[in-house]
Amino acid sequence: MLDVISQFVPNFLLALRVNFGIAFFALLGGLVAGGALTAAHLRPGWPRRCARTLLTLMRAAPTFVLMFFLLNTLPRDSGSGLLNWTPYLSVVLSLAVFAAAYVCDNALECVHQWRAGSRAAALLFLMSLVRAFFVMVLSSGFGAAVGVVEATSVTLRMLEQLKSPGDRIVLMLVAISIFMLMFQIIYWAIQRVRQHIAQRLGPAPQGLSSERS
Amino acid sequence: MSGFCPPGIRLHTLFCGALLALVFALQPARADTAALDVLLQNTRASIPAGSPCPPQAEPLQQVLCRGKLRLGVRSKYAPFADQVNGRPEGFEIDLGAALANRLGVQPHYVQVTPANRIASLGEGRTDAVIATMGHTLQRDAEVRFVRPHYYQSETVVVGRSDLDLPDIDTVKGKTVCVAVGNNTNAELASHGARLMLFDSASQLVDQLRQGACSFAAQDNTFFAAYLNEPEFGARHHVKFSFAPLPWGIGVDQRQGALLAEALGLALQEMHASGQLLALAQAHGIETDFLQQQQRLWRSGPCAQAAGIHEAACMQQPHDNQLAQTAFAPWVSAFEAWCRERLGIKITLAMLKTRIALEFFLEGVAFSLALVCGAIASTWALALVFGGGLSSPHRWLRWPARTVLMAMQSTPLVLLMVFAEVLVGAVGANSSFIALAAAIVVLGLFNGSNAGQAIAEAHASLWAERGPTSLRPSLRQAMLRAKAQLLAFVVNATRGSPAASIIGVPELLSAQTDITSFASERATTYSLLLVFYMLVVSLVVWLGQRWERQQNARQAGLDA
Repeated sequence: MLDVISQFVPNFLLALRVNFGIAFFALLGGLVAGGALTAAHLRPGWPRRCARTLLTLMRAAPTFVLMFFLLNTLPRDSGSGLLNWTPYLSVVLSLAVFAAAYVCDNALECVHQWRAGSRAAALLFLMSLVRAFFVMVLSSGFGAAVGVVEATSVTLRMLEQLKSPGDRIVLMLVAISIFMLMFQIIYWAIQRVRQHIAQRLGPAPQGLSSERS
Repeated sequence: MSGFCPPGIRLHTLFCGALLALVFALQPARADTAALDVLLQNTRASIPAGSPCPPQAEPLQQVLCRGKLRLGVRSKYAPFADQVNGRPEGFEIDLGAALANRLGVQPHYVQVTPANRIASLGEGRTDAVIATMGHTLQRDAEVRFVRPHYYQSETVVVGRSDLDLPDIDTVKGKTVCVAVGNNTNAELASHGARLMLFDSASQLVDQLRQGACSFAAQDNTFFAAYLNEPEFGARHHVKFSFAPLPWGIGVDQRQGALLAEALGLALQEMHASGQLLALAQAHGIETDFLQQQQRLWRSGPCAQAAGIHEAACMQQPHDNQLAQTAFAPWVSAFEAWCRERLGIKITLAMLKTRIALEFFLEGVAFSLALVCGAIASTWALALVFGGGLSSPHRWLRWPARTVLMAMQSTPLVLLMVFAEVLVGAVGANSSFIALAAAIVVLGLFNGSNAGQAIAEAHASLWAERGPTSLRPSLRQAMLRAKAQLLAFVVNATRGSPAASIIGVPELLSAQTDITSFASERATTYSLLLVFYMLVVSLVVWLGQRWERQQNARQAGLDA
């Protein structure tokens, strides 16, 4: 079992790069789309109504289902050779939809705080983006269901090789422990920075609920 | 004779006769080759002498008149048919050459594809097609198949050499990669396999090589060439096969009877003599079917010319038509109406066949049960975690914090798989066990976070009242954190489709199975998205209504 773990851990850590890559591109897309939604929301009349409707639809669409929808309905071959639709892209885009709604919600709160004179609270928008990034790293595990070779799928492939239930449980605990260690360090760092900003610049506003799936 | 032979000679004669009879009985019966020769001779005789080949003549007459047999063959399907340095090569190419030679004509190869091979007969571009064409009842309406069949393929599941998968009953719960459109996918789905869909068979090989798929299912002839590659063949093996499909030579449906008769007699000879078997061996092709056919066509009535018309000697075509629902015609009419009146192309594959409808209804039922269960477990576990995290007792707080840490740091999919491993370890293995496990995981994942919000609300309530006041109740804390609680209840609803990854036959899983054999994606997955958006919207609406009621009640109490 030690041999298996020593073979598994490097592959797992290497595959985590794919998860981070998916989250990065999804957040990038979410920032662009979320920024546009925020701008529309801030304008009165039909832009605000359209933005609200879109936001409602985006919040209602489950990321996991959206990923399958995009993968199976968008054309695989763009014809131009520049962009062919792949499982990787479907995971990125489905997470970007979630990111766009999240960015819009937080950006609106940031604008509200800024207009109310709380510049410091508005800066916590950046912290919420960091939090969203790591939420999407966790959610990028959905890619395992559509053939993306990332950390979760590496774990699943290794599990298939293990016959004994005890060995499979040990492997799962190793994978979960790696995630726990990595993310608790990250969350601790986020919390410390957040507290530092709050102490230096004023009380933090009420945080928005975090969506993790 | 007994009156003339002395007893000693009589015995010797009897012995010799018996010995000869035994020798003849042990000799394999040979196909009746005379029948084909007579047929060809009579057909040649019927062709008017000294005239160009009559264009309206029966195809066999045209072949013999031209001296050429035009054969539709594939390419890029080694070892059956491929183009090597501009020349066709392969088992089907050699079969075509042997048949042409037996008819006394030259072979002429015309390239066809699976999409146009049948059409090439009707268009007059080919006399016969030998193009990896499976003989199905549905194709009988379009093309006349020559009997006997010249090959039989099967669907095989190929997987990594270090993994066990002995038969189709063991695919339950395993992820199998398949190409969309194969009717045999329905059989895998009905045995509980989790299907991962790809557009083409070549993608299956890429996914096996990259390790994204541990198992893939496709026709065995497709995998034949790859399994012969040293690297691929060393790492992957055929696990089991199912759904045998006989391959037949096709000729024109209306006019090809005589040509089919001639080719059938020739094939009978080739089976009986072992020539077809030898061809397959020369190209490294699986020969179980051909060995069985050789034994068949060498014995009993099958060895006679009339054997090609004997039902007992023939393999039946495969029926790949799935049983239709009673209302399938109305569904088709509705689709046509949408297309003509609204300009919208929809295909309601889940309503047209019984197996698809079964999957669909089961999927809806499991999805609704999953959502209801996830909401209930999230709510219940939120209270448990809220109580634990705000407890004055360390032995309650620390376990709750540890589980919360795990839930906040682990992907939902990995937690689902962990639950599956745990229940598998105790031997529990059914859709309902998977459903229960998924409900618990969704409840833990979202309830722990909602519980943290309740604990924070509890702390803030107590801080407002003062440390010496009575501890606020859990209910009061829950009401203060109701917005967060509702957010995680909605989150649990949105995350519920992830349960498909551990074998819960909810709607996402059902629609994927239906797509695998119905080939229809756009409408199927659009309906899936709409279904879940409606469910989430309903949960949001109910949650907001409950929140308004609580706010109104609180406002009344305050007043």
